[in-house]
Amino acid sequence: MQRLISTVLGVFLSISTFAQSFTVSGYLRDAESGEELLYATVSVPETSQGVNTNLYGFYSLTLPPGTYQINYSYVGYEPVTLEVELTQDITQDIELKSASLELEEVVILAENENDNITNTEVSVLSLDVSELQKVPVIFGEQDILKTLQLLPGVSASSEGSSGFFVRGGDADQNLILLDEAPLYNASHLLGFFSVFNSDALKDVKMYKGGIPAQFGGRGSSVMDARMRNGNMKEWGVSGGIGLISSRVTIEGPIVEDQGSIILSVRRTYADILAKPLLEDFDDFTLYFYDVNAKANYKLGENDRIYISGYLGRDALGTDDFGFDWGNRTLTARWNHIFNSKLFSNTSFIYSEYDYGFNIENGGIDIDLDAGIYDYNLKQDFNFYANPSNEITFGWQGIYHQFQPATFAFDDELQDAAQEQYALEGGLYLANQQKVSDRLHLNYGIRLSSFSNIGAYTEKAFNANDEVIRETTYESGEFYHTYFNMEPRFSATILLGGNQSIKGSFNRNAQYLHLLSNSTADSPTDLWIPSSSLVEPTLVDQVAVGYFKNFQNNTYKFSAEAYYKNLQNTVDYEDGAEVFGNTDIESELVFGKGRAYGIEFLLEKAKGDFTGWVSYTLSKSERQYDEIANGNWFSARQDRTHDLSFVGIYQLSTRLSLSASWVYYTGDAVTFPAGKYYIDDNLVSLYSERNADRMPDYHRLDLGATWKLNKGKSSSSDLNFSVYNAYNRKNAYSITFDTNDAGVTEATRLALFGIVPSITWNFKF
Amino acid sequence: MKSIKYIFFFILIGSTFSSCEDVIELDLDTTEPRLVIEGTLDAGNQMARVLISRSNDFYDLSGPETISGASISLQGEDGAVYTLAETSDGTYRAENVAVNPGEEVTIAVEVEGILYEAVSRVPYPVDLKEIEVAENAIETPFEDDAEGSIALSANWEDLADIENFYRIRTYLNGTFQSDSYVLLKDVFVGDGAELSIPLPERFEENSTVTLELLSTDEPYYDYFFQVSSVAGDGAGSTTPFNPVGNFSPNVLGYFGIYYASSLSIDL
Repeated sequence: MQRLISTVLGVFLSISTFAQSFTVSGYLRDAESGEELLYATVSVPETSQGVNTNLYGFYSLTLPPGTYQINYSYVGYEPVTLEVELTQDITQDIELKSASLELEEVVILAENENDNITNTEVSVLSLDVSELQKVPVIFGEQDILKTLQLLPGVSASSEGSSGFFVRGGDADQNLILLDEAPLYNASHLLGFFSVFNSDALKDVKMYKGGIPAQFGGRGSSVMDARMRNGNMKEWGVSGGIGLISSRVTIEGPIVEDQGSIILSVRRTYADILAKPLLEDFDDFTLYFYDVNAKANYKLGENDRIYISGYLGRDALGTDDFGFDWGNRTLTARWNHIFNSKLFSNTSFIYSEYDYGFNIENGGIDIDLDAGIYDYNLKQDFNFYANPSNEITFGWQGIYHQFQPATFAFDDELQDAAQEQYALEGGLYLANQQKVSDRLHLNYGIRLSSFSNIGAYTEKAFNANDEVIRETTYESGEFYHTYFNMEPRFSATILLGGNQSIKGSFNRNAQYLHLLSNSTADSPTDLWIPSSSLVEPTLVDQVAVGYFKNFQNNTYKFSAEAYYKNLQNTVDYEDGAEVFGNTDIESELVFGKGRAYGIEFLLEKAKGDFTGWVSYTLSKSERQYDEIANGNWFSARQDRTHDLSFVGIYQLSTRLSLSASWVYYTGDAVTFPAGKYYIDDNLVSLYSERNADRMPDYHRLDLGATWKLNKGKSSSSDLNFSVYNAYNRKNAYSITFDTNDAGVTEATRLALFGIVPSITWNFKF
Repeated sequence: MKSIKYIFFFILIGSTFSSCEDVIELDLDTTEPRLVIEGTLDAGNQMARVLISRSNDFYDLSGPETISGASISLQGEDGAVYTLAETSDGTYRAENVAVNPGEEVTIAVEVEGILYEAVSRVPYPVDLKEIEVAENAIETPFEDDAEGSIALSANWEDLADIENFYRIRTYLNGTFQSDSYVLLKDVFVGDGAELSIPLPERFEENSTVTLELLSTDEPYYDYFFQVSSVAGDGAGSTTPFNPVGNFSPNVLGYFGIYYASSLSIDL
């Protein structure tokens, strides 16, 4: 610890003692809304030096004294060039105007012109949220998770689902952050919708590899979604009315250019529409809603506070049966500028995910509740030492509370699994260094820790899952701690001719594990902490990539290869008894995994016709001593081929057309290799785990967006989409049973035929 | 969870579009046929029965191959040995097998030169008290083949201070409903409680329903719990595996002991 601190200080001192220089710093904002622009470019063409704005739109550029032309640019905005005479430190906030209508381009993969070539980020996907609606989606409900699934390395967990796998990793290995708050279940309606209401989002970034040191806690990916701050200049209302859901957003200044507020609400009404068809079930409910709210206020030149929250809930039930689940998060943040070179953010984050059942039967009330609750405090610092070194460092502490399924009959609590408590810590230091015009590095280290905390009675089990030892810990007692060093490294070598080679290595430790005993994700899947029995999952990933842009950055090409090694993966043993089991740890097996693949992406970023082609060739395997005789077997998400085409054609200023086509190898599944009968009932005989394949999946979606009008302050458009346009019967599940004639057969369930939809979006 | 998903499918199917189910022909792997030994001891009726067969290919139209010529014996704690006789191909029986609750019973099956053994403990008898036409039945729209509308509950009293395992076998108009599994452990519902367990099926008027409550030993329960979880179809089913019984060396099947108690109701 002490060594780490002295290293930090050493780096600071060595970097700070440069020759005399001055700093220009400030914020980049949208001229219309006052919304900060993240990852925008601030550069000095004559010296080819530059920085990007940080997650809060702040930049800091340190240069020797002199006069400079400083260029401020952001995709979709008109760039601004400013002459600055640097004889002292200067604060310079800049507002950029949105590019005029004629120049409007559809850029889904948001990046500055050639950032993909020059930055040190490898394996990162960025989305421009405002343009998402032009990609056709099911029910016309735009969804960042569904769009990410059209990109290489990110695959959907099943038809229509917003659950996803990144580079062969497991579903629980994705850190999904909404304004820094982790979301433990990012799905609504059993995965058909994601919790992300695009109206409330500003920026989304997904790290498939090369994960920066500031992020920790999950093995495979980080999805960093940032909510909008709300319009700083004027009040406005926007929203959309669709076939099965509607949404509305209100935003405006609390005090102009000082503080703003935004409230965004969405609700589905599938149950209301379905009511006439469900006469027998009068009190049938099936809906979800979510609310995003955020307020921010500038306390002065150097301080600003933000409070944001998310509340989402799914409910379904009848008059005597109910099931609901959802996330709640609260993020309170304080930005502080110590000086023109040092920016800090301090966050307190609360996050909860819980679910509950309620059944009334024969006059008895049966309740089941479960959840996970997090209290998270973190600080992040950006130190802009000089144009060649940008240092980030910080720390994080998360107090986790795990409440396993608890039953109550008529409010009388039954024998239940114990609550568990843990403290997860993180400490990191990283430097983004421009070694030369040709070589950019980003290197850092994250030290993470995880401690179990009492009160808890820890059990040890023998091979027959029987308890052989119990150890009881007092309330507040730290009884088991893991430490991990997580090195993070990425490098970019600029080759000239608008091309580059990038490479990255990262280790990520994961201390929480999602247990699922079904082949589809379910709200009741259980999160458990690492413990003396359940070791943390460690994921090491190496990735290399080649990037090239053609024709003035109109076409962007990338090829990336990765290899991922997973240690201490967790799964249920065969035949695990999950429901109501108070000793769930006795039902677990531990193994390892490997995943590797190559990804190609060709994007056309400019012109009337834009879009991309994405192709992934990959493999993902697991090995458990207790499963498949200890042989390696394909993970469920092992998809050999995964191909997507997305095209958007701006036919006129009013009309844009779009299409997307996806094809992927069917999931690895276990089909029967034989049959036998137990008590007269057919039982399938299985041979190898996941040795079979679902039929290949492919689907075409079409969309059209018609702008009804665009005034100075109001606009509206109609969005049409057709999901599964050629009515492909993609198998959602295949079941094996005996038909009425006593013959065994396989039955395919295809969930969706052609699904047309229409949505009206407005903005006042 | 499967049922939850069905609710959602049902809604979507009913409202905006149609999903579709059809029979498809798959190119399935085949595997070496495996031996299946299903051994039960009905302690109340003092009847032992063992079925020995071999698995076959999934699309094989013929029935399972029965295995004759096995020698099978049961032994209780008092040392008495009961030998089972082959009454038809692959079916072996013994009567008047006298055992008492709590007694350990060992089965030895010698087939094709290999000796398979399993041990279990005789459970305690529990009587089914009544079949109730449930008024407050949980109304769920997810029985995809729900034709009838009458919901039934099986009522009985759990034995206090003993870990009990139950299975309900359902007969509709005298026909055993082999794909219906109601399994219950008293640790989930309260030791010694008055139980009223709703059946998942709905029944039609003018039918006769017979419920057979089995108070089983733990191996029987464990085996059927595994069978019922792999038999779950649809998207929410468990990762497939072959249920493991209590025979040693391992073979498909199980040896279980139960007391049975039946009641019928005319609807």
